[in-house]
Amino acid sequence: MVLEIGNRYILRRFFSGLLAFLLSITLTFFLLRSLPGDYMTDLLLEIGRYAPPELVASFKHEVGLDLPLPEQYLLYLTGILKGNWGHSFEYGLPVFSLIREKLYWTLVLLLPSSLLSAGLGMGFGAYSGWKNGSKTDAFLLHSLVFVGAVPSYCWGFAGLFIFSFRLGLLPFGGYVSLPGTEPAGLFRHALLPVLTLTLCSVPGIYYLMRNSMLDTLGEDYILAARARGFSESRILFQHALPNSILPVLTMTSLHCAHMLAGSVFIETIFAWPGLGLLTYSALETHDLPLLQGIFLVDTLLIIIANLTADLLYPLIDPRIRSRIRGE
Amino acid sequence: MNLKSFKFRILKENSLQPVRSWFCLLFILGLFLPACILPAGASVIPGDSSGDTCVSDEELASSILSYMEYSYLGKEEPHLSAEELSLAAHNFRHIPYGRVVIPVSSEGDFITPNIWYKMGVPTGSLIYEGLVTRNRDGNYDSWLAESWNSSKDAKVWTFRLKEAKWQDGEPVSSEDVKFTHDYLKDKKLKLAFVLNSVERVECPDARTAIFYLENPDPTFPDRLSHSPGIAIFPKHIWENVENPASYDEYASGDTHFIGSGPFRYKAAERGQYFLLEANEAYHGDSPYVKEVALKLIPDASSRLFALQSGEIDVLPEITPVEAEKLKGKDNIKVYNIPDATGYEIAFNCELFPTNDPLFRQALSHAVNRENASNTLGNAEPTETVFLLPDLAHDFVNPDCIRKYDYDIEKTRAIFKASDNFSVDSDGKVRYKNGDQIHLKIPLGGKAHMNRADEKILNAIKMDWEDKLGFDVEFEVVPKDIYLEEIGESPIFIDGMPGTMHDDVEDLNNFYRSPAGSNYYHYDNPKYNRLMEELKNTTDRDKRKEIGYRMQAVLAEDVPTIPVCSTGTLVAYRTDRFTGWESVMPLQAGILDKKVFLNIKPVSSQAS
Amino acid sequence: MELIEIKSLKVTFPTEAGLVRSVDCVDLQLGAREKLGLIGETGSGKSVLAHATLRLLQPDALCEGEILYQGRNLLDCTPTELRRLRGRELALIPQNPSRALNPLQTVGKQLFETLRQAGYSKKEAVAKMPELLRSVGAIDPDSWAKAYPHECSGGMCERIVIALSLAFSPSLLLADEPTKGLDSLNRARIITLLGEVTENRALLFITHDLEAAALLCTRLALMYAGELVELGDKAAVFENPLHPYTRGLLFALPARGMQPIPGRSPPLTALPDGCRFHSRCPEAIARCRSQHPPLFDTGNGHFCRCWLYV
Ligand code: SF4
Repeated sequence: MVLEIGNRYILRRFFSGLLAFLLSITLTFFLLRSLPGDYMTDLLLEIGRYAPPELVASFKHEVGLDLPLPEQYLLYLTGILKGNWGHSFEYGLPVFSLIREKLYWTLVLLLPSSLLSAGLGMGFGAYSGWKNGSKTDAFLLHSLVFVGAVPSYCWGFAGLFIFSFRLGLLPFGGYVSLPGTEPAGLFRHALLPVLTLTLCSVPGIYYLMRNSMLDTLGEDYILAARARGFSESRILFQHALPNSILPVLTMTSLHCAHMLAGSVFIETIFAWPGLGLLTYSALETHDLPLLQGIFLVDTLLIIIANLTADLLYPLIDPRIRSRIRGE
Repeated sequence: MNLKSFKFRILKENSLQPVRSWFCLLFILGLFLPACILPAGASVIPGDSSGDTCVSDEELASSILSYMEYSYLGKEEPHLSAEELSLAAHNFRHIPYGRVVIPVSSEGDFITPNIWYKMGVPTGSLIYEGLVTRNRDGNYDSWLAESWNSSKDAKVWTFRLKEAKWQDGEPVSSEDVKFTHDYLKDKKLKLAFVLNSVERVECPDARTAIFYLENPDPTFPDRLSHSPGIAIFPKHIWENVENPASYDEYASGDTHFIGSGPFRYKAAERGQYFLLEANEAYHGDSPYVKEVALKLIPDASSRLFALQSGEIDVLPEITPVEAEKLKGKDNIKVYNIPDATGYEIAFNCELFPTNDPLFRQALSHAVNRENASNTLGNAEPTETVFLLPDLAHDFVNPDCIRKYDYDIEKTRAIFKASDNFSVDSDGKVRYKNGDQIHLKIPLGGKAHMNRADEKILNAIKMDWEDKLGFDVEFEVVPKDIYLEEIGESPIFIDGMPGTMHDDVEDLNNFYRSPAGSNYYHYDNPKYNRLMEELKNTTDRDKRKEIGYRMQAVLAEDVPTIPVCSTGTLVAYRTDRFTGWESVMPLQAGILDKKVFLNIKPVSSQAS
Repeated sequence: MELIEIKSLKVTFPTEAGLVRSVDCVDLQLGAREKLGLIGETGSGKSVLAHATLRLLQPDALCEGEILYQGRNLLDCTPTELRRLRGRELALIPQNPSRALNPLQTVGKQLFETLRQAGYSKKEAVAKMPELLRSVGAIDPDSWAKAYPHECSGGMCERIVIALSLAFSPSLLLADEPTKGLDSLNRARIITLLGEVTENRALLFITHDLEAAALLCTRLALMYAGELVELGDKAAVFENPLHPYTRGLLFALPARGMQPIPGRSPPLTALPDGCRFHSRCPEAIARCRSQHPPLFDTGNGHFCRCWLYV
């Protein structure tokens, strides 16, 4: 199958991905530099009323912000190539290792919740679309409209209030317990945030899947299959499901990539500092190297998600396969 | 065949019927409600068998006895466990006990991976200490320095160190002081600017450090003590660190984070918590609490929950609204640390119309400070020209207090007497040519915290618009462009820490140095001369006298109208630790050594 | 006995715009091996009629009347009974053959599944497949079986769809616009093919293509706005068209001057009083506007819904 897709296709996708990557890091580089305010001024104003210009200047000189832009850009590019992403102003740590650490914690929440929400969303959506008009469909639709209409913040909060504050069943945010307190495993720490994240992304996938299923059910081949007397379950599993999952797949993979960038709300409520909070605080403090690094990783992740979808698609959809062969 | 899609559309329309969603809401509430009604627990004092809220000798002895009988002889269950016993013992003797848990709102609030690279720490850190620290009485407390004095010209400052030990057992020596200075400058660290004026540091003996300054600096200890101040670091650890900017102290927790303060590093997880324990070898009184845990809780509402559930013991820097919510809750008390931030209506003395001193004086009578303070909640009106009496004490010129009381008639009178303005029969003020006075005020600076600037503006706007006939307009601008914005605005509302109003030195805010303008674009040659004189004066009384004269000038020129100062509200659990309110920290936060040396587990209070 | 008998069938759909009266009081009979052409414009209700016969309409479609298949009313059948009838007895050749095939499965796989559904064992199904494909004109059945629907031309898809419907050997074939979108060569081939495969079965040939219907069918029924407007033998309808609409259709044929009927058919939610054709009818008289004409029997099994034949 893979061979059938052809190396040329993979190469082409890869190069277009690379191009998008270069374009986007260039864009973010110049965008970030055009933001008003800078790290040192902010920092100095936090302690005092003045930001002595000579201090700001010497800081800029030290980190190379006083160089002409093209030169900074070149330095930045060569830095990336050499694997040197710079040091965060705020943390004083290498940007790469900082991001890696935060990414890890983001993934701990994201992986299970993506799988769960994709499974539940697609399952419910498919069922609801299939049983369109039934009571179950109406119930699912209404409850998920409700779930989706309530902001993720509220769900997280409700969970925390009930299970941690009132019932004391789950730890109060964070991914580790304070030493000396009754230790709760990672599972119990991650349970609420994962469930909240799942709860918040299920409705989106559900709508997509339900609509896709409804569209598929309106297709002639479903009618034709019925006209041939196929059993309903056969129609569902052989015809309706595979066809309706296709459009949802791309969206879901992109959705996951976006979630990777982190959900500031979830991370804030559950004291789970991942990429989202890191981005937020880096933006607040104008931590340029860190911001650059984060955007770089975000871009990479989205490109990888796209690439994966691009490579998976031809495996599933013969139409795309022959379009590639035709290219 | 669009017939097929008819029915799909029908369901999609129905789906958003609010009534059904309400049912779902009720359903979910029904599930959760029982969980919300369940109660939370209470606490008792271990060892206190008589119930008089204190542990007596006999009570402790019998508890120990029963515990020993239990563990050695296997007799019946003791009435106290080992854990409770140690609390009982603590109540009797001064043995550190208990853990205070404090929330921090962002990772930056932890002792950051790199203390050098970050801000100063003398008051804000429990691990590190500076030489001296300032207190709220306008004096200095000693930390590492036992005594200090300066030469007549205030250019040579000598500090005599206490006999103290680093937390790894090494003695603290004057070499460490010198090292701190040299290291900051060698490595070009941000904090080096605090020591800009220091030419060199000498160590004639192990316990004497002498700072040689390039210019006289009578307030050198002030510079060392806060905002941001300088902490002293152990030479024997840091001399091996080549590049402090990228040095990760978490990675070597046990051997690093070595300071000389009352608490020492115990454990940490980046982005989650930072745990400190009492340093029993501390050179001062050792703390009553055994451990201090800083725990990351970024969400404000979660912090409120955490306090109520006992997850944390104290919640500093809450808003008046949050304080209101916590009032009356079981075992929770809210108190105020006064004078944390001073608010002012500031002028740009170069722009029209605020370049006219009469205009500024006139407006000074048109600010209802009482009213503004009330709208802020935990605020006190400020009726001096700049310094806050509670912090600056006798440095405040008594003649300048209440010079500009709230009296619109006086405002009108000043405008009437002016050549540039006229007042019509309704009391409305106009420019001489009949134009309305239009003021545009940018908001968004430090005073924008909790929207204080907006509240102050609303309090004065009524007077200025209805009574004086001004047209006052405001605009909230992003933090990043606020600075530029106020450079072009004749009037703005600002706020700054109380520590910037506590010393005559702070009058420097209005000084126009040869290097450049000040915040207010204020430039009075007489004032500038006085400031230069002040900088070269070390004698306290003389400085006070110069300060009085400077304040008198300010009172005439009014480059700013101080409005009020707000306090910081702190909530704490009364059933856990006590002693929060009896020591006021210098700055807004409670993370102050003095506070943490003072607090005790609740039950020890009685004994 | 007639193979299928439709008695005053009424199909309506509720929509926001009102009730859509897709099929309105249609009576039709079809004998075994009879070939009937059902002719009408898009939206005249002919496809709905076919789908109603197979009970393939969405559940909210309202069917009244009777559809008797060998004396059994299809509208009363249970889903299981229906499933047994569909394909085996009544087969549908759906519109848009390229869209009537699952795009993710090869033609062979779909044929295989259908053959299995028709009761063949796996071995038999594999053996039967090339035969079936050949019967619809495939020269190289293997390559056809390997192809995905999107790789097939329109004509090829049509043949495959026919092959799928033949897998069961049904007694009635409902062909829904099988010649739509095909070039003249393919159209002729498909017509021939349909003629061949329906030699022993009945055919309901739904089309807007009068000529194709003329080639295949023995009787023609014309529908307009949900109603039957003319019904009669092929020769009678062609040589002596009674209804002005039929005449209009005939004049619109390329061979007869290609003059389209002016105007549009009325919306099914707001049908006019009187004759539904009156706004376009060149021969309309006063009563056409107010009174709805019934279906008049003009003798010789030739019916017409027009006031001109009272
Ligand atoms: S009934 Fe009247 S309008 Fe209708 S087709 Fe006949 S003549 Fe024309």
